[in-house]
Amino acid sequence: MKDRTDRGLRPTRFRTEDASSNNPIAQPGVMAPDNAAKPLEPEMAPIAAATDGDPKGPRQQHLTPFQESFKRFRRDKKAMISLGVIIFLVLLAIVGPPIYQHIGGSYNSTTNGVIGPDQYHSFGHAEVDRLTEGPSAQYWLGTDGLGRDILARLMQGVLISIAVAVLVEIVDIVLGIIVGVLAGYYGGWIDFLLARFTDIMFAFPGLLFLILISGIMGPWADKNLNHIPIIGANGNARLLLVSLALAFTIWPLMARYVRGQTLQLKQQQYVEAAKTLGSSDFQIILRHIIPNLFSIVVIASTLNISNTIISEAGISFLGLGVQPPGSSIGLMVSEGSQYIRTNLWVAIVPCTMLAIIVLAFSFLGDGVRDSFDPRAKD
Amino acid sequence: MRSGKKITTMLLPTLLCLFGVLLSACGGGAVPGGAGSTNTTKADASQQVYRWAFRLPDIASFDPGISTDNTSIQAINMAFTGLVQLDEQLNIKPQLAESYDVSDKGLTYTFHLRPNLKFSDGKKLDANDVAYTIDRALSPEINDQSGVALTYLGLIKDAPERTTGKVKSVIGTGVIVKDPNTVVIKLTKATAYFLGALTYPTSYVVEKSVVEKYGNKWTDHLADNGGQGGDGPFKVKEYNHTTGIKFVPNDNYYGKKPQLKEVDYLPYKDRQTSYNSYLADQVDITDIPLPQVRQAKSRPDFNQNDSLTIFYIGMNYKVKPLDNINIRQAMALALDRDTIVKAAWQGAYTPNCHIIPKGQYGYNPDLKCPGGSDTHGDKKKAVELFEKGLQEAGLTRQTFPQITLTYANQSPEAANEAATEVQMWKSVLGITINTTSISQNTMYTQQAQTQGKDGPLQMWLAGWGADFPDPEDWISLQFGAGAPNNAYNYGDNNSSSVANQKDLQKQMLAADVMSDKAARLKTYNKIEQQLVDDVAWLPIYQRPDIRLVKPYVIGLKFSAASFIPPDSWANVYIAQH
Amino acid sequence: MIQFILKRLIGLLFVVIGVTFITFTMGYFAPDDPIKQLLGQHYTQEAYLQLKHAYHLDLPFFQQYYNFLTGLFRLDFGLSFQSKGRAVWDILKDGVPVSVELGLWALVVQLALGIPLGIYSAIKARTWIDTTNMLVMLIIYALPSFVLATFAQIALVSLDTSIPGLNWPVSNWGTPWHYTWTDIQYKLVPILIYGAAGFAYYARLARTSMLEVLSQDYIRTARAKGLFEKAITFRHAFRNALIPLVTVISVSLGFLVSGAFFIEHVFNIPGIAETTLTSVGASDYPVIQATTVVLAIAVVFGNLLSDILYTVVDPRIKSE
Repeated sequence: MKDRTDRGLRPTRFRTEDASSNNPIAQPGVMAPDNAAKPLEPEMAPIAAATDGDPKGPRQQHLTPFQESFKRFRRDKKAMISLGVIIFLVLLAIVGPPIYQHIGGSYNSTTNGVIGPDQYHSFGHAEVDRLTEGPSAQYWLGTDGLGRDILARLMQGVLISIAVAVLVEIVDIVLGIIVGVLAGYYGGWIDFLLARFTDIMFAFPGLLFLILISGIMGPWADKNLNHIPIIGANGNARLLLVSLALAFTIWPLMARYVRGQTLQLKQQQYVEAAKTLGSSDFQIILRHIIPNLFSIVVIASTLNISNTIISEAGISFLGLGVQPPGSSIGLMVSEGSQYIRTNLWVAIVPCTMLAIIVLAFSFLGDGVRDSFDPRAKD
Repeated sequence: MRSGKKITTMLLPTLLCLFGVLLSACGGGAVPGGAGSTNTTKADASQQVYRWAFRLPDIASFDPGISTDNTSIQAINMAFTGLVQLDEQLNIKPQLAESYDVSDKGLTYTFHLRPNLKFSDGKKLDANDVAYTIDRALSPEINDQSGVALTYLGLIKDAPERTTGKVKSVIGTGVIVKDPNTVVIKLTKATAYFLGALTYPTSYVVEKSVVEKYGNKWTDHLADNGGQGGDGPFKVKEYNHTTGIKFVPNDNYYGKKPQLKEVDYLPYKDRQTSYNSYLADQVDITDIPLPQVRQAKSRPDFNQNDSLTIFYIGMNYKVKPLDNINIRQAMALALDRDTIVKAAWQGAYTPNCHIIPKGQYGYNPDLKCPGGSDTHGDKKKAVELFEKGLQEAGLTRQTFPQITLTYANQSPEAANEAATEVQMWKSVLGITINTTSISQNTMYTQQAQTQGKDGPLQMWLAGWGADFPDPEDWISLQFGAGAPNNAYNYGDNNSSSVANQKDLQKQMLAADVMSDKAARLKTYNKIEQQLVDDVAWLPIYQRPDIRLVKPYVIGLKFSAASFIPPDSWANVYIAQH
Repeated sequence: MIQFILKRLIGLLFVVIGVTFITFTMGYFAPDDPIKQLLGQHYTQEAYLQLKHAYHLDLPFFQQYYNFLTGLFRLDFGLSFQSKGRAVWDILKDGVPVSVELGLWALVVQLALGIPLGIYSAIKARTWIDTTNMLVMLIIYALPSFVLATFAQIALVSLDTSIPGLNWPVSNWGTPWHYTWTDIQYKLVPILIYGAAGFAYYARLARTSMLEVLSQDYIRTARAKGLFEKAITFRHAFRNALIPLVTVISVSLGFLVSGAFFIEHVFNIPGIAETTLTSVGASDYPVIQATTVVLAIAVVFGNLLSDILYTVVDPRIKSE
């Protein structure tokens, strides 16, 4: 009988030929923050199957040939285009504002004087006399309901989306590797605790957790975290909170993947050999286990990013994430939807940008998986 | 599983835009509501249903003894009435009481009830019910749920002791039933505003037998027995916590009976949702979300009335150099309220420098803004006064101390307002004021803490909504000596004009108990002008109630306290449409 | 089987305690004080302390948590702050049926749309039908549900204003589990949008699963035997393709719960998700705790259900 409660201790008591029995898509909750929009990509199934901690697995394990994988990746046109789009967006978010200031976007507000990129995040940015305008040479994407330049805000919004994604993945990977390796390598109480904890996070719908954290602790963050640059200042104070909460809900899954891989690696002959040669556990983990986790970690985290971005947008849409005058894409959607009857444009722009980001990261994730998934070589 | 592979990413943005346009472009722009239709012929009885949207998922409480929020009070006003109530012009009128006498130097109020009063279920209503209601509102069980009883009934003898449980009842001491038609209320202090406080729902009469039968959940049974528990123009036909309240006329009502056959009080969690529903003809009245105000103002069904809510900047007299009158006035004159309202509030509110709001007794149309200016301020004069003030305080712009403006982070608009004001001070006076935001609750707490101290608040954005429409609520309860809201430390500071302030506080006390209405008005007007010149408050705007009302709803008129007096429902009907 | 269910139920207890502890701790240490919220502009120190005592909020942490847990077993979630003095249990009784109704219908729409589309796409794999199909899926997949819901509502308002007499409701929910024409009008659009927001997932999953099955040996054998394509598809492939889909129902519970926040929020549906959101805004911790526990229990039961279903559908597991 399939029993998820005990998975931590006894990897599988039965194994069917298809991938479903230990299919992470059958595990709700852990990936639930992405449920803000969608459940886990169906495409995640094969990796999970490939990396499931079944010591009897037929796969032979050797060092990942990175060059081979990269070559495959470079051949994947869709993934490469997506990567290009993402690089463009990152550049847009970081160097876009100062450039845009000189070729458009800078203006002389009646109340607030000349506005530069440093003020795109403030209400000083609002120009009372130029509300919901269409695109023009000065405002490339027009202005929103408060007279703020939409492109300027969009660039800030993209920056926030990416910053959150990066932060979440860092925490996710670090926590996931540490706990996953320890649980897989030593088993015992760490494994037990991981299993229990994962159970709780399964049952805690991720978005609900996010809502609770950012809704309840939000005011505290607004007050105490507003000194941190980018993810703290100008109404973004809750981002750190949101990111940590997001990472908190997804790391158990990463830990579980890592644990499975570790279990497998532990059985490999070269690890056994290292052990008999007197290497300490620490050395083995550092030299033989962690380097071999590369592909699973990269695949799992890239596939995660689009969901992370949707979650942040969603929580900001509900008014619990980024606070005005900050400009998360989700917040821009919700603000834009109020002006939709006067100017549809205000809502279309952030929606489109959100879709582009999500698609680009999904394709990139697909590409990375196809190229780095060890099973794909078969 | 490689589903996405064959699709070029480039197509998507275009497709998405098309998708969005297709979804939303179907016919926006048409103005519904039958522009200019002035048909006032009454429609069939079956159409006499008024669908009233309110802006919460559910009313907070249907219990008059507990409710403090406007949404609940509007519902309570339909089904419950009190001894005295406000009319459309906010004058205090006898309601359940036919008349009342004041004796014993204002310490004793005797109310003579109308004859043959009945609850909506036909049971008799007499002085015992009035006494029961007041005692119940003061009881610890009820008062502990919202803690407001003392605000409105605290002057009644033994009331504070009753709320803590020290006294088991105020009946017989504070509230005396002389005979079934006469109830006497004894006060511990004579004030002019006691009657005003009685107009608040806290003392609206509830039916003892119903309350005792169902206990805490009695309001869930208001629709039982064909509508029970209250005595207002309407009774409850259906009360559902998710779908709203249905009211039908109360045949046992003692006043003019409503023409409407039904009022549906419908929950919408926010303005945007109710506004959309109004446009889709789901409701007959809606609040307007701020972003829509500009557009809505040009609609024929736009409706607006003054509301007794003023938003202002508080300035702590104990913080240097805010004790200097010239600096205070300079800061006031540097602000162009019209621009602030336009920039932060979509031009929806009314720029204002009054302390007593428009729409109630005590409003002074001739009041001048500080330094004789108007709501636009006066930049030149501001600079002059500021230089003078700096000199008096021994400061320069460089040594001007760090002052922080605190605002509640409840709404982005407030943050925008703070930013705009800071910007104006910077560009006109050349000083930098910091801003910080805290939660609304912390704001209330800090206001209480600031009293008598130089912090935590220095300058802050705040609002005040009338508890009762009497100037005392705006003047004495704000700026009086030891007044519960005097966080500005007016009359309690080291400024050079503190003697004048103390003198003004004495005038407030005198005005509070004046019985000649005209003389009282004049005194308050004088005091208010002095307070405005002292920049005791730095008022920014008065918030009106703005809404759309279907043109076929005839006779609907809100008072400045945002409710409809019980007898005015008789004038409301639905026209043919 | 019974042993297994029992074991899972014990696990459930454990999970509920964990979830309540997290939520309770959050509420206890939250910076926003519900009593201050209650008092508003009438805040005084004395009134504050008195009310705090009246609501038992002056007790130590573990005492409060103990009271909360024991209350839970009596189905007593305490009193709401926002709906003054109303029992949280009553609030749940209002919200849960609405959310369950919305979620179930949405799931039906998602499956009814998603699975046939996915299977059809798989059968027509690598034709223009498949390509268009998957393109639409992809777009819907990339558009978060809140975007879909917002646009749909605005489109509906536009329709209402341009077609006089249409008066199609754009928000709120009719009577739960009643289906008069008015009720259907209220419910149709939110359910469809909710369904649209999720069906792409099932479509893609069904397509994947079906493609995999179609490439199996026994299908090839069947073809070789000369069976009609339709018979192959429906008798052999379809059943097997459904197996992985069944397990996904448990995911959908998590998904339905999360998606509900956006749909209920945009369409003003008085379900449990919207209740949670308003309570979060009002620092109404008793309600937040209760709704969280209910949602968590729903998800755990969903997992249990899918495990049981799985053994029913897949005969290989029964033989284990």
